[in-house]
Amino acid sequence: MYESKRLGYLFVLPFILGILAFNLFPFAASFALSFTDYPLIGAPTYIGLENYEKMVFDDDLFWKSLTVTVSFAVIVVPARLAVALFIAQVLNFKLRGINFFRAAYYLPTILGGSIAISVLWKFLFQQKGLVNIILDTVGIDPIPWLASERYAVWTIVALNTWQFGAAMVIFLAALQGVPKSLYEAAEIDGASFWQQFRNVTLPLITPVIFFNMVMQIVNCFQEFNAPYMITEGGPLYSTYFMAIYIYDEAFKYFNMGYASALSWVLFFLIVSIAGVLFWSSKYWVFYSGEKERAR
Amino acid sequence: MSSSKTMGARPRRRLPSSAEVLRTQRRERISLALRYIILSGVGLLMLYPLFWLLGASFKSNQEIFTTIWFLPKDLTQLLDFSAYYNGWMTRTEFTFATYFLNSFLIVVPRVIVTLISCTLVAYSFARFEYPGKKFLFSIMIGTMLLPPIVLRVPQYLMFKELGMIDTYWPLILPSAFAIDTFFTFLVVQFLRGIPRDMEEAAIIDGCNALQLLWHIVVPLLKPALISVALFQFIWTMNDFIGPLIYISTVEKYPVSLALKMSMDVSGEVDWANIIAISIVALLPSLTVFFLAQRYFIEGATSSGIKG
Amino acid sequence: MFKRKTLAALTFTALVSLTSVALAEDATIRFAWWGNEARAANTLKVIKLFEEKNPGIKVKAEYSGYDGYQTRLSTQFAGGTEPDIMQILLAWLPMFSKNGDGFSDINQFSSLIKLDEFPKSTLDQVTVNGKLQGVPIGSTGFLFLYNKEPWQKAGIPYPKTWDELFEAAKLMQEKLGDEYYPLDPTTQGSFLISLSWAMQKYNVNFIDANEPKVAMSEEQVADWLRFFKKLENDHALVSIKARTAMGGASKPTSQMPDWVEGKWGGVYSQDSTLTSRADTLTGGLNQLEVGPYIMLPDAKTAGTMSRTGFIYSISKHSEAPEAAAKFVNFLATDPEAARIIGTSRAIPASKTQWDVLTKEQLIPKIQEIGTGQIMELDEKGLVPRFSLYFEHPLIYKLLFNTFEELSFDKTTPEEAAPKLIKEANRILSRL
Repeated sequence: MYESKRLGYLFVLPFILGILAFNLFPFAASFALSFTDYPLIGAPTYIGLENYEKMVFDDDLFWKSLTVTVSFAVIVVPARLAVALFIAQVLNFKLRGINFFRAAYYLPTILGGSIAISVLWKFLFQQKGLVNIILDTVGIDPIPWLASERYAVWTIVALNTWQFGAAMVIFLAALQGVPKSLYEAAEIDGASFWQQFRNVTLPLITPVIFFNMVMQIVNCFQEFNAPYMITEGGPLYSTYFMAIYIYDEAFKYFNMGYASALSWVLFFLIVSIAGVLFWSSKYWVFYSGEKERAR
Repeated sequence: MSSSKTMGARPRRRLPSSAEVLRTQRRERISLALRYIILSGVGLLMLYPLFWLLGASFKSNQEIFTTIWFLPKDLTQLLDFSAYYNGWMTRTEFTFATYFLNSFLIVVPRVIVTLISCTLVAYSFARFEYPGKKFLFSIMIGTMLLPPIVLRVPQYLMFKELGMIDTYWPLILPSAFAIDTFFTFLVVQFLRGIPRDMEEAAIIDGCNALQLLWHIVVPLLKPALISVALFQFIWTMNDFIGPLIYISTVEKYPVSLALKMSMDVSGEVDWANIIAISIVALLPSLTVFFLAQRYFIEGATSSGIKG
Repeated sequence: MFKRKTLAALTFTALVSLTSVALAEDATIRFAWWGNEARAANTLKVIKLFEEKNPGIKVKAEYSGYDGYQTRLSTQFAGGTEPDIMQILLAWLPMFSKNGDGFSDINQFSSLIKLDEFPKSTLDQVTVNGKLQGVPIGSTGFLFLYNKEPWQKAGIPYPKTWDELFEAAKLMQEKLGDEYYPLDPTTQGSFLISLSWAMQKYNVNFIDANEPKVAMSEEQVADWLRFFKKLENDHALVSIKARTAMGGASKPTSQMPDWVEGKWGGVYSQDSTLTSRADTLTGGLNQLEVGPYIMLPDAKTAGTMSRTGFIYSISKHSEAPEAAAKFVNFLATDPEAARIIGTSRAIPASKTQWDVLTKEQLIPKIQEIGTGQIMELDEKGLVPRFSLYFEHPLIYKLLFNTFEELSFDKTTPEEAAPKLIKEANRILSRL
């Protein structure tokens, strides 16, 4: 039955229709707009490659925000994945009260970008905030987190790591798919917890690790809320992420054309990273449901 | 037995003497206690900010911005729920009852259509072979990679042409066509990791494609589909920019928009009200999470049988 | 199918609008504003009253929080679906209406809107290319607002001159401690307060009020920047760097713990927002006092920036512009409307409304004093004109960055001055 092309097309049809109906025009339009000067009010004027030229040769802020974004992703993607996978593993017990702990660990993620978080986070990281008080008790001098070009980004990293819940839930769901009999077999062989994790769990959840990796990269490159709420891109642009730059250009300074150009550059950057990931997945992602690779 | 069978435990299978049994039991008890201590410790770290928020909803403005301890100085303030009442009632035409109802009118249909469309499309991607599949798949991934903010204006123009401005359609309709590709991709990844043995057996038994999907594939995908529903629920509840752009009638505002109104800081502000109502706004998502996570455990038992 | 539907809808609305023009009565107008709940509640009451007095006209309120308001409005503009009446921040005007053709020219409705209620200077601020872009809602100017507590504790009078300010800064630090400052500048205050001094000294504005170019010389700009550094270094202002460490350069004063605890002696604040500074003070409004405007001897201008905060504009696409104009007139000039709204829509610019509020004591005393001070300065001719472009977001971004770099010692006044002028001129030439 899975050889039936007709059925395959039938099931994918909604997506094809959806792309044609809802995505084709906006994508094409924003691509076209990237070659124009479009102040939102009034019509766009075609200016050729000017936006892209400006970006590359005459816009320090573009390079600055690109650097900020990339280095952020380099830190946060592995941090979040590791924390989420570790916690998911820990929370995968049948332990009394485990429901409570799972909810507790997910709660920060539900809070998302609410204003309460911005009040709170500033409170934790301000000069006389909780973090510095704790550091003081262990003998470390207070750090001006929010006013330091070097440390400000860490407040965002902290928030992002704190909100690891989405990746954790996906890992939890994946761990449910690992057949118990395999662990039992491993136990009989005398495999340690770590060995079980490495040799049984890890290979079987590689499709989901891969998924989370792709998604975390996408999220990091489009990170907006946290720096917008907490540091407002500062100080001295040290947390001025690409997404904020794009938003500012589009809706604060009414340069929709330039914002579109920035977005498409970011798009091609993420596409190339995703491309490398997908290519590499052939070597490390194991699909038990795939015909050619099934055991 | 149940606790020792979980994957975190590591009993060694040798022939045990009774002294060894005792020692193992003690060790297990210690490791259990340790686990609870770590879980609670990290849990506290995760939760302290939320305790603080909860406490803040009972504090005065000046206390909110000056104290790090989560309880109000005067503990009798904990009996005063007026911040919750004021936050809920608002000072405008509508109470939060209206806004919550609106949110559900968006969220519930959206979750349902997302589940259906994503399952169908993911099924096609993960199991069938046809020319053009790779191309469609890359388009699916590609749509996630463009910063959505620059799509807003063209999308708005499009929905304007369709006559759907100030309705919930722009928020729901695209999901019915598997446009939230994050979810499709998620289900695809899960499905690709599930062996085909059961499906192959069912095909031999003469199941048609829909029966196969409904009776075999969907039950196997349960944990993944529950996560899809959970995420779509929470994200749609929290979505601000979508409703902001499409909905202009206050009576149709969902919670996320109404919250920003309560939180507007131009003019005098009662912070306890703001914090109280933002806590209330979390409750639906929290409830759904509690309900959903039971199924993660069910998923465990059923997949255990199959293995 | 959708096409046909929209077509039908279009013909229908066209017909409806035709008849409504003919009757000039039956109409629904959409009115969008941002603000808190108090503003919404009071405005809804005014709408109700207006609808009672003008049967046939329905006002649909589209209110929301400030966050996202501009994003929604610009999207609606791109689609030509903006509301009939909208609350617009003056700073947005150069973007929404570059050449004065973004909104309906209010002059068209001079028979419906009592324009003589408003000072001519205020109307001038809102005019682009001779077209009046909206009806002003209250002027708001920067002044020195103090928290009595630390001044009384230290026994220092409020400064009248800049020298006295530096003296007060020294005394306050000596007597009360390092965390005590006479003034918090807020985000924009940090460059406005020093600009005020520079304008008092040189009687010239940063950007020419008549044409889009920098009016100050390089030496004058450098002097302005040096004075800012002196204010920060001499402990007269909470520095941008210190503010950032306390929770962000643009975190409102009232949320700063040191303000709540009475360690900051005052804030360089707009008169329209002065009451909100008391939000987190134990003593509330009673703890606040308006001080004399700090001046250089013989200054020809106070250098305070005073302009209308926001305006009500009417859409060019409105199908019932007369009804919209009628409503704007009611909202912005009617005495009864003023009684309902009070100060929840800022301080009214209309003479009638201001008189009602002050005579019937519908505004807090301190508000009357603050706004009164700005009015008095204005009458003496001490309030300078500001270019509409001064508050353009790109200029603000440039100014803020320059001052942030100064505060963080990333640049010097001598180095920053020519750069600031060059960049500002570059931005202005493109507008």
